[in-house]
This record gives sequence, structure tokens and C-alpha cells, in this order.
Amino acid sequence: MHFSKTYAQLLEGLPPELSNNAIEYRQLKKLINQVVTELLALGLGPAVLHDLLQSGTDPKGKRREATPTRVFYEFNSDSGHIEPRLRLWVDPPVPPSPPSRSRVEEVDSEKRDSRSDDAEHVPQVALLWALQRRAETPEQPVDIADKVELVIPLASDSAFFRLLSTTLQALSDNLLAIHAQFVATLADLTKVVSDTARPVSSTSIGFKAHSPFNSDAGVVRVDASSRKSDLYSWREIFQLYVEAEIFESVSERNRGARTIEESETRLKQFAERVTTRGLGDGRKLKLPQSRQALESFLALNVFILNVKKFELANAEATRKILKKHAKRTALPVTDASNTAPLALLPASNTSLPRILVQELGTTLLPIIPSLDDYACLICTSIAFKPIRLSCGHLFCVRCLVKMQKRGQDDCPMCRAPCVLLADRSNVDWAMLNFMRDWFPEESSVKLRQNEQEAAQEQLVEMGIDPDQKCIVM
Amino acid sequence: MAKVPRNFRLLEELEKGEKGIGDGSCSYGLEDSDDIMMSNWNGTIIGPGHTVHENRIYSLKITCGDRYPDAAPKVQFLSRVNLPFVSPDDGTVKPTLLPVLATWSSRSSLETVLVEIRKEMASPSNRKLPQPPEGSMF
Amino acid sequence: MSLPKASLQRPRIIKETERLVADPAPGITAAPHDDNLRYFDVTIQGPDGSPFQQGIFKLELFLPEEYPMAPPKVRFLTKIYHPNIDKLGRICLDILKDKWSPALQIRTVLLSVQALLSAPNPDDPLAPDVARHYKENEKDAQRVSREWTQQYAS
Repeated sequence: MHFSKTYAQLLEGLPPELSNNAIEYRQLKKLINQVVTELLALGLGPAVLHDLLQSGTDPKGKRREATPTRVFYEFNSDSGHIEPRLRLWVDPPVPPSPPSRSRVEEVDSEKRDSRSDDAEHVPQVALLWALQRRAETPEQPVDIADKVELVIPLASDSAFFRLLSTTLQALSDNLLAIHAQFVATLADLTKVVSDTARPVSSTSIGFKAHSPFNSDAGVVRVDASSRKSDLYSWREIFQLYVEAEIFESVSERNRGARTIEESETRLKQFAERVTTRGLGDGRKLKLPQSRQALESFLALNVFILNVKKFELANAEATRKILKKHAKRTALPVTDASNTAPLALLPASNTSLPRILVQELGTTLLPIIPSLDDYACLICTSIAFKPIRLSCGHLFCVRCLVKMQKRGQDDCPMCRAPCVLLADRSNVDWAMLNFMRDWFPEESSVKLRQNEQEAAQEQLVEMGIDPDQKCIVM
Repeated sequence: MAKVPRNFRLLEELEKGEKGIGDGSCSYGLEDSDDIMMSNWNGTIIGPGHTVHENRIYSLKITCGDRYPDAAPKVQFLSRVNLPFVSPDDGTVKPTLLPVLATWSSRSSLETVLVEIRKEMASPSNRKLPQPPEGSMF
Repeated sequence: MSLPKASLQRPRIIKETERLVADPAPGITAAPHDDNLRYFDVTIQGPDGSPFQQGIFKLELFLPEEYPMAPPKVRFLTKIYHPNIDKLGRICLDILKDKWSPALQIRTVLLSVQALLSAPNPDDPLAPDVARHYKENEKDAQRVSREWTQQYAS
């Protein structure tokens, strides 16, 4: 399939705010045809031009001095626009004899009628005559030694580059606007989610997160069945989202951006998981505004995916059209020795999807504290009750008690000898209240587990094996 | 309780054996210090005092199979000895006749095998059994 | 129903195993035995630039009851010529002994073992003859290490 068709099909699938700013691929193709025609009018069919440009530059890009005729394709950007032109050095014209002149013109006009890319048979001599005809118009020929320098501005080629660079500029502006819009939408969404995923302190009368520091967590029983918050559902949704690694992989072996296909599959899988777990409806999302927010969250992700598709397609379109330009005209827009023209084109921001993903990750996701950030590094479950060692590191009371019993004094993080010093005064009450506020379920489960484990340990210390089958007396 | 896999269990036993066990009347070590699977062991029992075995040193070969310590090791006397649970032909310890092997538990070890055999040597029925010449081997 | 909540409380060993299997560290694999989730079959790739390069070394790892308060037990099953690894594959590495910290993990332990292959320490030997060889003629000792790698670890 032709790329122009593939490209058009892809654009159809994208929302108008994106597709309206696509590269004018067909239009650019027509302009290339005009460039070809213009060059042919100069007698510079692709084959001729190719040979001439080759003789002007050897493969390493260095100019050779001994060749009779040299041609350079260059870009004048003095006016702020890209104005391609050819610079040639030719031998001074010898006045032609009338018969030969008419023969050449005949060949030249024949050529113009035939298919434009079938240029192999244009005789070399036609070029010289054509050059002479054009020589008067643009700039005065300069005589260097016995060569004449000619500069030929290429009008239709200028049109090509004008269109390409305006489109790319518009595209880049458009993406900036999209970014701003995205940020605004995200801010709204963030507000809704934080309103629907509130901590215990905002929904229960009995519990205050900022209660005095002397409260004893041992007797605290937190009410986990809050009816006015979707905190746990949102946390689960975000956890699934992070685990899905939709746009970027964080695994050890293939870190980095994912392909569009991979991202699309993963986004779909994420949506499926959310649905399967009942997180997409009233079963788990109690508040109607939560369900709306979830829709909006998914929509933002689809949008990022679309921007990703759009950017990739545009980069491809730009590359293809420049390749086509080079192939059809033999004018080397880019090669190893000449990358200037690309630098003159407005750079499209190819990392926008990445920025959007980061935006999501830094704005929306952190509004719900994640358990990983409050886990004890030893047992890896919530660090409840939290004990702050004098070195500043925080662990759960249970793990520190175990270390103390084993006489292990070094902090597991920094090896500072402070574990054996820790006592009740090391309880971090502010953290304890924060955990009960944001992780009421995990805190109470951990508290129960701690008590069970401690009781079992006591039995073992008294010489009773709790794993042993119960002996009926 | 976490189940200790065979190899780590044998490493523990090896380290214990290298440090020396009990009063030194029993000892054991790897037959070949290169044996990465730690299958073949040498054991030594110093005959218990006030018995016919007093001052005798008995060498044994112990083989730990793949299923050790779930399955009991194979034990064989290299030194000639006259005991009811030892085959007079080649010194093989008959597992059914030695309680520690007959009722094997994975809590038992190379050390317990040697210690139990030594106890059997000192038992009233065995302590006075006539013995082959000291130092003779199967 | 409450699967995710329960999964938040998954024990540490399960969490570590899941990550080891799903997202292994480069050059390292670790798979638990079906009948003993504390017992792992491990492979470590010899680090590039070391005499163990291109070797695949088999190890076994066991998490004792006291883990993570006590370190994992690790041993090479593949023969290796290294001053800090003895004939039975036992490893002399401080974090496996007195420098153990309960904040370390299976992953960090195996990465340290891999690093030990790149940086033998003949001053703290477990295999005295190999260590002497490394101290007296490092080039020749490395040649033997390479030979053993080819012979036993490929």
C-alpha cells in the first residue's frame, strides 16, 4: 500500500484536534512533481543532476577541484525561509552554431513531453544550453579563473519547503496547545479523584489524624468500612495501572518506551482487569463522580496513545516525503555531508507522549499514598506500628523486636548501631496516625498479625511448640 | 518450619563435624573433600569404656542418598566388629535391626547414627560379645 | 473478592520470588522448587571481562526459617576456580555472614555473588591454594579460572 493511503487511514482513526494538523502529504507530493518539472526545464533531469552532484563532491564529501563542471545544492535561509538553490561552475559558454542549437531544443522539448522520471536519455549537452538560457536572469555570473559561477534559485522547491516547514511549525504549535489542554484536564481529574478517595479522617467523626501524640495504637481499632470514600478502589486502580506499565517498561531487561502496538494491548488489558475486578462500576466505585473520573482517566490514556500514533506517523511522513523528494529530483536534501536542511525545519516535539505519561505519574497517581512507600523494608508489609530509629530509618515494631531479641544492633539501612536503643519513645506517632488515616485496613491487619506472631513467639520461648497438634488433656 | 534441603542440611552437618562433636568419641567427615554432592562420609567411633570395645577405633562408611534426610543413610563398618545388627560378611549395618535407622526421622543426623551405634556397643547384651582381632578390616 | 487487599499482605518471600521470576536481574535466574518455596535453583552468568565470562554457573540458595533476620544460604554447584569459593562451592562473602542486613534481598545477594566473580579477593580466602595462586601469579591463576569455566560452566 502507498504510504499516502496508509497515512490517510491512520489519520481517520484519530480525533480531529490531531488529524487536522497532519502533514500535507499529497500536496507535498504534487509539489515534488513541480520541482521535477522545473529541473527538467533547466535540463537537469535526475540522472544528469545526480552525475553532476556526484562530480562536485566525492564520496567523503570533499570538494574536488579538477572536475570540469561542478554543482552544489544549497539552502539559503537569509530570508528566514528555506530557499533552495543550485550553485554551478561551468566553462564559459561557447556561442553555438544555429543548427546544433535547434537540435538540442528539439531534444529538450521532447523530454518535457515524456514521463518526467524517465530522464536517463537527456543528453548532457542540453544542460549546457539550458544553463546559458537561464544564466542571465538570477544573479550575475561570477568569473572564477576560467569557470563561470551560476546560482539558480529553485522556485517550486522553495514552495515545497515552505509548505513542509509551515506544516511542521503548525504541528509543533498544535502539540503545545494539546499539552496545555491535557494538563488542565488532568488537574480537574486529580481534584475529582482526591475528593472521592479521601482518608478516614475526613469521613469518620471518631478519628482524627492529628490526634495528640500520646494515643496508644495498641488499643486503637480503625474503622475500615468507610462508606463515603473510594480510597481503596482508586488505590487498586492505580496499582493495576502502574503494574500494567502501559507506555514504558521498567523491567530490568527491556527498560524504556514501548511500541504503539504493545501500549495499545496493555491499555486494553488494564481496562479489562479493572472491569473484571468490579472496579469499573458501582460494585467497587461507590461514588458516581468516581465512575466518571475513571472514564476520564481511561480517555486520557487513549489520548496519549493517539498522540503517540500521530507523532510517529508524522515523523514517518516527513521522512518519506523527503526521501521521495531526493529520489525524484536527485537533489540530496540530506546525506552524510549535508544535514543542514533538516536543522532548518521546525523540530517536532517527539517526546510529547512521554511528557504526558510523566505528567500523569507526577500529578495524579501520587495523590493516593502508595503502600510501597510506607512498607517496612524487612517484612515488606506496612511498617505498623512505625518505629523511627535514632538514625532516622523507619521499620515496623515487630521486625525491630525480632532484631533486638537476636541482639542485632545495626540499622538494616545504614548499619548505625541504634536498634538495641529503640524503645517506646521511638514510636513515630505522626506517621502512625497518617498510616491509620490512609491505610486503615492494612494497619489493622498488621496489628492483628503482630499480636498473633508475638503470642506464638512467647509460646515457643516457654518451650511449647505451637505447630504441634493440640493435645487433648 | 522451613524444610532444610538435603545439601544445606549436609553442609550444616559437615560444619558441625569439622568443629568436633560431643566428647570426641564419635567423628565424621567427607570421604572426598571434592564431593560436591556430599554423598560419601567416613565415620569413626572410639569404643566405649568398660566394654570389649574399649580403646578400639572403628571406621565406618556412611552414604547419604538423594532423599537424605527424609531417608536414612546407608551405614557400613569398615573395621571388623561383632554386633547383632552388623552383617558379618561385609560390615553392612542392617537398618531393621538398629532402632535409629529402623525408626528414622529427618531430625536424626550422621552424629545421632554414630552416637546410637556407640550406645548399642555398650548395651548389656552387646558389651561383652567376643570381637575379632583389633585393627582387622572387612 | 478482596484479592488485592490480601495480596498487599503477601509475605516477603512470595513477593521476592514473584519479582525474581517476572523481572530477573541481567545474567541471573532464580526459580523456587515446587515442593520447597524457600529453596531456589539459581544460575549466574560469569561477568564480562572476568575469567568467568561466558560461563553459566549453577548455584543453590536456601532461605532459612529466620530469613530475613538471618542471611540466605548460597552455594555454587558448578566447580569454579576462585579464591573465595571452596571445593564444595561455599562462598566467602561478608554479606552472607556478619555483614548481613535484613534489608538485603535474594536479588541483592545474587548480584553481590556475581560481583564477587569480577572482583576476587585473595586476601580473604576460602580456598587458600587458589588464593596463593592468585596472589603469586594472577595471570596464570586467571588462565586456570578460564579453563575451569570452559570445562565445567559451559
